[in-house]
Amino acid sequence: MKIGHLFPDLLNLYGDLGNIRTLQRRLEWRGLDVSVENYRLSDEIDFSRLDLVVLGGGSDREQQIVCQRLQTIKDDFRAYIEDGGVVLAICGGYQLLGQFYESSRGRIAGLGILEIDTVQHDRRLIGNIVLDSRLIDQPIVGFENHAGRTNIYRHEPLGKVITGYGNDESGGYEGVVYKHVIGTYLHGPLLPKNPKLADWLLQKARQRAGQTGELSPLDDRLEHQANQAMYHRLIK
Amino acid sequence: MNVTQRLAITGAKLASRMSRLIGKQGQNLPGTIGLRLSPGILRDLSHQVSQATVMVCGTNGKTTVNNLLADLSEQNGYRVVANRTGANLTEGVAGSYILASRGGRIEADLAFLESDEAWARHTIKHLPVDLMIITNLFRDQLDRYGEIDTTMEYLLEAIERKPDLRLLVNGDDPLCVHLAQTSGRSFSTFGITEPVLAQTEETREATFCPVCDRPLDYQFYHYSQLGHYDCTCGFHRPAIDYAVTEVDLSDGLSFKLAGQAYTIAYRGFYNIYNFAAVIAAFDLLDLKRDRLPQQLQLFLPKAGRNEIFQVGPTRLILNLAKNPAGFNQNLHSLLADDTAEAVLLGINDEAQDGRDVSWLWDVDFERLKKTDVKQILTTGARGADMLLRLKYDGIEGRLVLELRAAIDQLLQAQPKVAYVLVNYTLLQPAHAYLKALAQRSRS
Ligand SMILES: [Zn+2]
Repeated sequence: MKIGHLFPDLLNLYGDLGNIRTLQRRLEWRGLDVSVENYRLSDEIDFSRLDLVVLGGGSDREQQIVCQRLQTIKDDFRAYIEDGGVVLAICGGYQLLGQFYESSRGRIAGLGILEIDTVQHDRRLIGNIVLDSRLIDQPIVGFENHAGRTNIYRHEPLGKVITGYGNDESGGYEGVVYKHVIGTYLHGPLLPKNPKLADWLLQKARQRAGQTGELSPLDDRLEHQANQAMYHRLIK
Repeated sequence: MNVTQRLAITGAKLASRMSRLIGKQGQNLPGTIGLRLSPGILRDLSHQVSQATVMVCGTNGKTTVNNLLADLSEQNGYRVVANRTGANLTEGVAGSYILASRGGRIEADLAFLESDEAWARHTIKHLPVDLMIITNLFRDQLDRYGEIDTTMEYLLEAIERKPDLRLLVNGDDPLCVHLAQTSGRSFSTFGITEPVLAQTEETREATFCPVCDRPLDYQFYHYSQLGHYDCTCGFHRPAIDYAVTEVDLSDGLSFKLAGQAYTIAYRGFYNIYNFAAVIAAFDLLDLKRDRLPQQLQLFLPKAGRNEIFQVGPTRLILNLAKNPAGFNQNLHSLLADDTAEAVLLGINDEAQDGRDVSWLWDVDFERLKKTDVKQILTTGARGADMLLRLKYDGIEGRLVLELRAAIDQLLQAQPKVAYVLVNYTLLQPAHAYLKALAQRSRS
């Protein structure tokens, strides 16, 4: 399996490297083949060779640079997604998938792949968050930190907010799921403590590559311990 | 000084005594009360300082630098006001002045004030700051400010409020230098002008040029984004005014600065920057400094900063590790110590620690595999996160939730040398417990 990490030298906020490492290790531990390609801004990206794409978040300035670059390969990226290509987009990466990002400095066009948009507010939404998601039978725990309020309109959310703010602090939902794309504000990083979500992504990527069969179970005691510790602290 | 202000000071001091009675050591409460009763009190008291006022900012090292400046100035005969306890918001700064005042008067030559980066722009309005020191700008405090760009904007705002303020910044830090250049002020720099540590891959935050966003080139680098950098756009490390050379880390710290040799009992490469900042500030402020080398030689680290405890057969080294840069530095020291046999990693997520512990994934724990460490324990409110983090670097450990129990377990196998690396809110309890254990083991 080939994982493409888009622009980690620019979009590397909040330990998001942990997501790549989780995907990588969970394949290695099962004796499955995996390679990670780190793309820099000037690199050519051939989406047809990728099974999973990870797009992180950065500062506003870094995000703008990435967005300009992605505009030039928008059609390839869209085709990859429409074809069931697997994407994990965190924070800034999540916002980029939408129609626009609006701040006091103006409106930046997103990639327009999803019918969502984001408006920045002064007050950042910061704190631990727990979601109940249809995708997995385990609560998703993470840490959110975003100034943007994202409206996902008729899209399906990643999960219902059990505690925390979510997409727009009042709607009660967080993130977005579209085909095999997950967009979310959750850091923590997201995947280490949510191993079932990591496996959901890996399984979708394997299915698309024509590999049948379930992923073999792993010893996830430490993962569950960390997940449960936060869950029980927040949900009394 | 009018009646209201006198009353404010009396009330604030009374509050301080009460807060100490109920066990809270602090300068915040008197500051809060003082400012509430008399908003002009900070301006009034701070302008009575006769010689100079210095503000110290930066992600790492500001408490160390501020306390060194205060202590060394006192040793050289100056009367000093300082917020030594690290209470670095406006209330903490005000509290320091109030507690140092007598009958509404401040008898001091120098003021040294550590300030939170985001609060500097508010606090500085009241103060006659002559010199601002910026130790470094690392990615820390993320959940408070969102990003380092915002921190820089806040600091610029603070600088703009004081037209006569001089700047002393870390010249090895591209973010500090960019900030100083953007401010349009003349500034002085300190830095380490030769490669010292092995040139390894590590989290580098400002690998991108702060001016043009292209990747920075490094002739050599020290850690994080610190080093000798330049960019095709012309941005480069400026000439270093206070240049550290001939660094030797084999026994404490020794180095040369401006032709003068220094030997200091501190550990940790990063502390060289703190000392360079202090020595540079003494020069810039034209303070008495002929005895600095001797005074520094006698200096011992503050409680819990690379502090050593002997408990039975075990030598325990306690240190603060509160962000990736600090943690990586600690691991570097560990790597250099081939007597280390056990490590306890403690992570809390109180407000002072940072609620978000994602940064743990930016620390290069894989280095632990290269040491002779046999036992690794984790503890704290985020001990489970810490343990999971280790797993993904292929390192086995064990979680002991409660700090004291974890320290007891660490000692059980009687390791020769053990390291206790904890973040902010675990430092004080770890220090207290280790101190008690060391005392008990002596008697
Ligand atoms: Zn440049």
